[in-house]
Amino acid sequence: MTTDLTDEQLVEQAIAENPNAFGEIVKRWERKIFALCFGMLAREDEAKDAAQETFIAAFRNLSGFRGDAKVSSWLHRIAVNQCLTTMRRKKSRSESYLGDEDESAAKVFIAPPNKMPSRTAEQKERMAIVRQAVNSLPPDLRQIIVMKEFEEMTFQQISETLEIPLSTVKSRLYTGLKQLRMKLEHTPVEIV
Amino acid sequence: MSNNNHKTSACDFAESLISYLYDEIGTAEKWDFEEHLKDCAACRDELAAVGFARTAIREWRADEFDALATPRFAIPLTVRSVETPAVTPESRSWFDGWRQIFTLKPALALSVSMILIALFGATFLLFNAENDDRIAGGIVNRQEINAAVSPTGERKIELSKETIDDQAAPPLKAISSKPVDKNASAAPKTSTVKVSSGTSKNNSKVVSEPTKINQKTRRDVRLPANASKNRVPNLTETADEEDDAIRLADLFDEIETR
Repeated sequence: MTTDLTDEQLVEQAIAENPNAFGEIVKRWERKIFALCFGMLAREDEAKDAAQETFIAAFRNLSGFRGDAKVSSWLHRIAVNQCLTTMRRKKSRSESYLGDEDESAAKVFIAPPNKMPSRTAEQKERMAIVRQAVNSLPPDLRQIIVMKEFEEMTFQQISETLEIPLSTVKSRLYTGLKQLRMKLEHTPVEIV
Repeated sequence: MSNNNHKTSACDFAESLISYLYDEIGTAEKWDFEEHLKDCAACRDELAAVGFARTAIREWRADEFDALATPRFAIPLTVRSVETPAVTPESRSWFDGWRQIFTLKPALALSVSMILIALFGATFLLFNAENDDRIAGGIVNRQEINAAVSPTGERKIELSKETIDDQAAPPLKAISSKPVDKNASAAPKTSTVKVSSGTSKNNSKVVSEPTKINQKTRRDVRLPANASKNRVPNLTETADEEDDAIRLADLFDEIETR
């Protein structure tokens, strides 16, 4: 049963051209990889394409997988590279996530509690601001935030996946959240 | 001991703050940090700020991602093989189209195959059933099987009626050339009838070799010349008669008198 095997054993079987083995790997990681791509790209269609390309690239390069690395690390590395490629492609086409004209439009992030505009429109506006703010973060900080908030990985898992020290993971997360807070904050926020 | 002017330093408390925020902190470390928070407003502000950013991200995720279904990722198995040039529409023949359909849809191929097999089988059985009905007729009288000899010296076969288990077959009348041996007639499944060749009075052809009518299957079989006339023929000694229509005409036309 392929469900009882580890990721590394599944890769070995996939290299031996067992078609079910790689399918099991996809099944285990499809949601997380999709979440990572969505958090990095902030668009569903681009996230789907990037995730699809991730698994195709992984399948194509099965023979190049080093047994000393974890399959999760390997897949995440491929996924992040795919996302960065997508972002570079978009930048070359002069598409930007947060331009100066967008910053001026994002005036209020949190509406005062005594004023109740349409929740749908306000909610959409807030989400658009958050999306743009996350996308404007440096890729290394964004990746940590996305892995923590979208994939719900622990610090230890992130450390093992990215092959960086645990302290580096926490420090990057702290820096990323601080920068995000600065981007989101336009009016004084009342802490309840 | 820290005071209210203590600034939160990324080097000092950043890791503890993040660990505390995500509740991935040891008990002792948690207690120490909470004690520090009581005395450090800066750290409290920092905790609130990063907590706010984290909440915003969680709201964004809940609003735009959690409801999304996980897409299905199809990995073509040919990705790993050497890429062959794509077949252009102009170069594809009708055979390639059929082959592609059956390659992509094995269930369709299986169902079509089963239907074709069933059609052929039904046609074959119907064809055989018609011939059997015409020859045997479903009603044969073993006691009265006689072979008739025509005035020209040819032998004809005439089978008289007998009720057998075949309601669909119309009755035939034939007379065998010799009296039926009891042992042979007692044979549960077959009765031996001789027919002779040559033209009959009715200008119908008669088969020269003796034939055996298998009452169970209603198929005529041809006995070899050296086969015993009185014994139940072995299946291995017989050969299937293919031209049933011609023998039937012979049966009707040739009559052997005793």
